[in-house]
Amino acid sequence: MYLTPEQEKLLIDGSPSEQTAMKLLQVLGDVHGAGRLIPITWAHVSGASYLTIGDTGLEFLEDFCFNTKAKVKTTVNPISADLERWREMGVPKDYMEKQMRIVEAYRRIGVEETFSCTPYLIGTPPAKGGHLAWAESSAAIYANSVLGARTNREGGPSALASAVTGFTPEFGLHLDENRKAGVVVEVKAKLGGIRHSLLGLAVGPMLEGETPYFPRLPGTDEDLKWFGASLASVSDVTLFHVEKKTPEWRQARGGRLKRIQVTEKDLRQARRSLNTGDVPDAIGIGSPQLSAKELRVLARLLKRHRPKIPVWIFSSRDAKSQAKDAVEEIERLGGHVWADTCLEVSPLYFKFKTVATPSGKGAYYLPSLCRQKVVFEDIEKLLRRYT
Amino acid sequence: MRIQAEKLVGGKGQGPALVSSTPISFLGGVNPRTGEVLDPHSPIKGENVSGRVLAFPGGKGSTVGSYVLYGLSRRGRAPAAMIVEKPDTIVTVGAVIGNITSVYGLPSDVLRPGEWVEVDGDKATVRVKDVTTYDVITCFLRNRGRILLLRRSAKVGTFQGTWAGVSGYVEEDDIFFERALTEIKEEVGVSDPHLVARGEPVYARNGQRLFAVHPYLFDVENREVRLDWEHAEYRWIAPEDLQKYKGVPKLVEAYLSTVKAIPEPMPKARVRGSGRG
Repeated sequence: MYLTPEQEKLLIDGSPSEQTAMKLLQVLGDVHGAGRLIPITWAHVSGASYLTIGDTGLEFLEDFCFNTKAKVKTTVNPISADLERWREMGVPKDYMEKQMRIVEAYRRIGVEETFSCTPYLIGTPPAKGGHLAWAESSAAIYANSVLGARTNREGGPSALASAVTGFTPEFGLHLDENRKAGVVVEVKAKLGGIRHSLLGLAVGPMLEGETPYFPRLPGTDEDLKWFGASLASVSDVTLFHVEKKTPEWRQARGGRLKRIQVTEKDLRQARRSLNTGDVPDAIGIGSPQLSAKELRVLARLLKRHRPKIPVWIFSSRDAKSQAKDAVEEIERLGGHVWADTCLEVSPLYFKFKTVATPSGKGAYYLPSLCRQKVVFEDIEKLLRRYT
Repeated sequence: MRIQAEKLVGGKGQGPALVSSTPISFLGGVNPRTGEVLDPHSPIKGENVSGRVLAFPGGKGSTVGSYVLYGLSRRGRAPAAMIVEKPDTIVTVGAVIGNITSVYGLPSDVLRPGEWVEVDGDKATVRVKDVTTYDVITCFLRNRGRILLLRRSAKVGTFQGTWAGVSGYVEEDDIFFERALTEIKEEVGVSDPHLVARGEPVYARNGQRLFAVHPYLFDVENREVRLDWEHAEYRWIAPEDLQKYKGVPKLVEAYLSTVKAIPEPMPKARVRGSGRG
């Protein structure tokens, strides 16, 4: 892979972390057949939750985030507890101390302390065609598909390497030819609510890694957020196209593509495979974090159905501040709106054994990451049932 | 023997081989402080990766596994070197941040557990003393969707009675492709095969010998075959039936390697001048 003189200099004369970062990008570029490194406008790093990365990850971050600064806008994925209200979440002190060491490491390199899996909702979203290095699969698929920006699905370390150098290797979804659809998906099922999540879960394994093109997929951008998060959980797919809706749909098709169908039966099967619990101890809403708009909708729902079991809602600090009234309303009605963390990276097991959720991504990861049994159901139905 | 692999991370490392036939989950599967393999499903459970040349198909499981390799390296408990078949993200990132000499592109079964292996990350070579490499060509002839298999006679030196493509040792000063044409002429009497693809070499270990098999796929005009003494029988078979035959080592892999190398057909006219065609 070709390096510019500026990049060579970072590789040879940079701080130890910058050298490691350049080496990592170079090796990843070589392995994937990239011709060069291209500048990015925004890095989004994952691997901030102590729950996920543990002591081994903490050790790496403390070593790496030293004597170097982020060269481009850098946002950070959720951590494992609300920075201000971690005690209320039942998080022990020694656990939180470790978590704070991770936060401190990121602070040292000058990140924006978003602690959000929906960076595209915070401030100005990335521009169409802009190159990013985003970890967090649900954010990467949203940026590519709904916003038309360009990012591969990065891992925590590669996104961090891009943050401190400002570059990413040019391969995969950064290139036009890899953004074409490989399969046409006809949806023969009702959508709406939880069903966008179900569609993602059902269709993921059918795609065999190909980028899907949907001639018809009704729903709002929020619906596509839930759909994409589920799809990215169960497959490597990081881009989808929807006719007359997503920014690149006109360029997405060329030549004859194979067609597949998703039916009600597939959606039912996806739901059944994720339902592992009977009676939930709590309802968990999020993953991805809720937008300000979604918080407002939820406040109205809770007004109609007063919860009898804990309702934990996950959002970003930014969305919470945009929807202050709704947050107050939810908290007054007995719900909790946590910031900085998200459903499956928070240590729910300190409090609960079975969690009900309308999130496909949450339902998929909760058993392995948080040792939870799952009731996977529509939010309205859940609130009606447990209020 | 000295085999050329692909470079992942430079440097030099040597030690006794630790060979896993299955992918390794570093998070949870390997103790990040000691290097002991904990995964109960792993064929190398109970072994220790540190100081060994670890040969394995790749990583699996959580991406946090990269940090485990880093942690091992930080404590001086990392593998002396890694030979990975497919460089997935977990292993690639772990090798770089842990600065562990690593190469890729070689299947783990090239090595035998415990033998002394030297890895040169910069040159991307793997050396094993007392093992000799033999270059052989193997040619698959194709006609109307079927490929030619030959059963090796009792008179040949190796793998008597097993099925193979047209094959032969590459002698010193031989040009591989010409050796292929010569063998085809001699063994089956075909003089004008049409080259379709040359696959990446596949490796077959047999005791202290390592065969580097260079596979070719040719189209031939008809199914006329004239056997010489090296073969007892021939069949034109459907490629999907290849598994059913007791073949020479890595016969299927060699065929698949040629298939992988078949050039894409010329793209058709495209919309807006770009795309997959």
